[in-house]
Amino acid sequence: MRSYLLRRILFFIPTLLIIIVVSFVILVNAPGDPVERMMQAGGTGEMIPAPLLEKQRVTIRHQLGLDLPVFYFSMHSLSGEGIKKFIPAVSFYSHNRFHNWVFGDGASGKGIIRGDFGMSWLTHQPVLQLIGDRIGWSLFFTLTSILLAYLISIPVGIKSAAHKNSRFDRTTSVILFIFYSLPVFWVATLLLMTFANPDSFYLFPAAGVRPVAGYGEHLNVFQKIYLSLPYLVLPTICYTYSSLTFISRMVRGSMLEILNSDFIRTARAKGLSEKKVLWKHALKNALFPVITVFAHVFPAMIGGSVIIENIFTIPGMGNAVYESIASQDYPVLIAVFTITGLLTLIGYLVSDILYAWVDPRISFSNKMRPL
Amino acid sequence: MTSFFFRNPGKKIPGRRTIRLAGRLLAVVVTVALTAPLLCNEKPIYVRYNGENLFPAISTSGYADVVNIKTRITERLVYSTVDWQALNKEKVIWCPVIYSPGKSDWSNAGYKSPFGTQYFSIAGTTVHMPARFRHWLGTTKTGADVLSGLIYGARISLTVGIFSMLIAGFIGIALGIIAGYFGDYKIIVSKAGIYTMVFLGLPLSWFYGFYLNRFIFRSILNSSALGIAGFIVYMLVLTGGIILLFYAAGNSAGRLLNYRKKTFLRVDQYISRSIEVFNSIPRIVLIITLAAVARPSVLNLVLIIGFTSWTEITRLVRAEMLRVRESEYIQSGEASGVKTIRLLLRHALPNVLTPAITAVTLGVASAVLTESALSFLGIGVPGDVVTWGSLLSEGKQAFSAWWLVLFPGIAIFTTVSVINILGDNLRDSMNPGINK
Repeated sequence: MRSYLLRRILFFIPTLLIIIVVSFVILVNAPGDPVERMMQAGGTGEMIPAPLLEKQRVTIRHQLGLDLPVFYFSMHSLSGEGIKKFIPAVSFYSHNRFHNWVFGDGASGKGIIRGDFGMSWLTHQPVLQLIGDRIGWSLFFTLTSILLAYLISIPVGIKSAAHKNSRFDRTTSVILFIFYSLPVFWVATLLLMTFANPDSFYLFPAAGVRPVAGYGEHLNVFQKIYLSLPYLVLPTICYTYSSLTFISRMVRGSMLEILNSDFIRTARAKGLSEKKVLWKHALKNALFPVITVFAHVFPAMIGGSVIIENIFTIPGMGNAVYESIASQDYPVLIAVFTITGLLTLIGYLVSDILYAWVDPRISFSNKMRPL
Repeated sequence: MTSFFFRNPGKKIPGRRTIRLAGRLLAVVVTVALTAPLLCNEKPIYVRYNGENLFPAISTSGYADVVNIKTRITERLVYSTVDWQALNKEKVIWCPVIYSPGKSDWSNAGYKSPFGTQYFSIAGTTVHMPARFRHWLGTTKTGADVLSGLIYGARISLTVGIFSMLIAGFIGIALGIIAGYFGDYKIIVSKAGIYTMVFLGLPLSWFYGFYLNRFIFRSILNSSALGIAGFIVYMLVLTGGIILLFYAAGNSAGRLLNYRKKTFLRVDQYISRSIEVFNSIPRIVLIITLAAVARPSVLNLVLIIGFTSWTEITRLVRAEMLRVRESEYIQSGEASGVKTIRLLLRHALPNVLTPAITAVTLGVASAVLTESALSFLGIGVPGDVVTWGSLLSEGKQAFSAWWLVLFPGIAIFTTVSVINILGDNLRDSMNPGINK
């Protein structure tokens, strides 16, 4: 098992590297010229003579390191014309954009390895700071709804496994199936249309996470939560319902498997009450694979947050993604991509380690992750 | 393909009626998508104008030269610009819905309800809408017909769903069969050949295949899908050829130098690890990022979803292939010297297809969802293309226009759940023991 853990952790590194390379490739190939965009955003609109403008461009380009070669090496033709065009040549660069992006250029940029994702092209704010302001709400919603989803779907899954093919089992499976096929943006819009619409039931506010005027002074955390509560209900429903199906089907399947095993038969044979068998012997064993699936639920929720936060105007990371796409502010998008990749990787790592801790029979080579 | 249902002839498949209903609904959606240009089109199917019989909706030329008999003046009718309702025609057969998707009908602009009063303006006067020309599912802010948007939306959704999953299915099945059949210890290669291939063949094939052609590639990216596909095939053949050439060269060089060490080509290892890596990147975030950066087009969306969705199919096909590999017919095929490629395509492929088809079916549903979510956000599909997602996002702007929220949502939900029901049923009839 130690070798499994070691290899699992070692596998973390190349995967992270691939995510970083993919992010970099997307960033480099993103349409639009960052210099142009930065100058547009920072410009006052007055006319500048063309040669001066060109000089400014070159200076900014140099400051940002955009005039450097892209990668550590490049392969190109020996020369532009004639037969030499078909002869390959390799050049190596110690100063390049990838290196600066990952490890920093030793001056202003510190590199993503130290958490510096560069500046937003639009607001000139450090990207990490921008995301740091936003990530709180996303994590709050994601974690709350994962917790809620577990609280709802574990009892449902257990009950439908214990009474297989009963009316309860059939009804919940139909409902869960409908939940699974309902597009979240439709549900969100319908909820807003029904419960946040002055023309119908006006129960909840339509946008934001806190009163428009702010919380006011001298309020403690609980009072703030109480004030924010109406804003949180609808988004939480949207976050939660879509993962209910996955988790409760997982619980049901895992429970069914355990209920057919020998030790449950033994427990029943020695006359334990059905309640005790179910909740004590079976549940303990069935629950573990279920808890580790949070690693699968989490990235899906982060993806969903782009849509949900956009609809409910929640100032979270998903909304930052949406805004950065709309304004072509790609460093933010890429930073979110890298950070979610990292979070997912850590989630997988933790869940795999937990799994190995509980079930030491596992080995690295013959395990293919479910889903 | 029918074998899914006949594998357990004695077993009563639960919910037969639901499945049949689902199948019929899917058939309706597919038919609507296929016949969309005939179902809703502002151009009539048939027009008789100045004694000429014209078929604007199905014409390929896009115009007609009509001679006025009295004045003997030739008039050119360009089908896309003619105001067909105002045209002084002798006979006409309209399409069932006479509005093209996204085209503004200004007399009904500003969210006209399906049940409200609609207006029809002809030759400068505005009258109440005749039933034949009604917007049966209401209009958008600019007066575009919702029903025609829905019909064309089915086309986009199904195109994205089916074609992206064809790509994913092809990659997934190919990789799954290779990983499952060859495993880690079946392909023995010479070390010299592999080293030459990796350190010389790969860079050089990139140089000759991609680098020298990069300008051609860039210009072809804007051309037709067929041109792109042809060029990609050309590049694959070229790069593959160069790589293999270098393997052969390295192999012979190794022999000459008496370096004959062999090694296993651990295809299963490589493919399984790359699945792990792929699964570690949150898929929807990857798709959103790629679609945001790429040029908005349906083709790009198909490619993005297709190339990011193959892992599940590969995993299932690989597992099935591991089982099939040990079966008697494959063993005896190997023993009697059937060529590997024939063995894989003729004998193994049909037997590993069942789980792949299930995964592809469920994948279509998820691709439809992804596409509509992206167009809801305004990413991926160009802004002027009407899709279910884009209609819904218009509905989000004005809650009083409930028809803009309700109908596209129902369309997405129906399509997705119908495909999911069929996919689930395929899975259950495949392995009847599980979870039932």
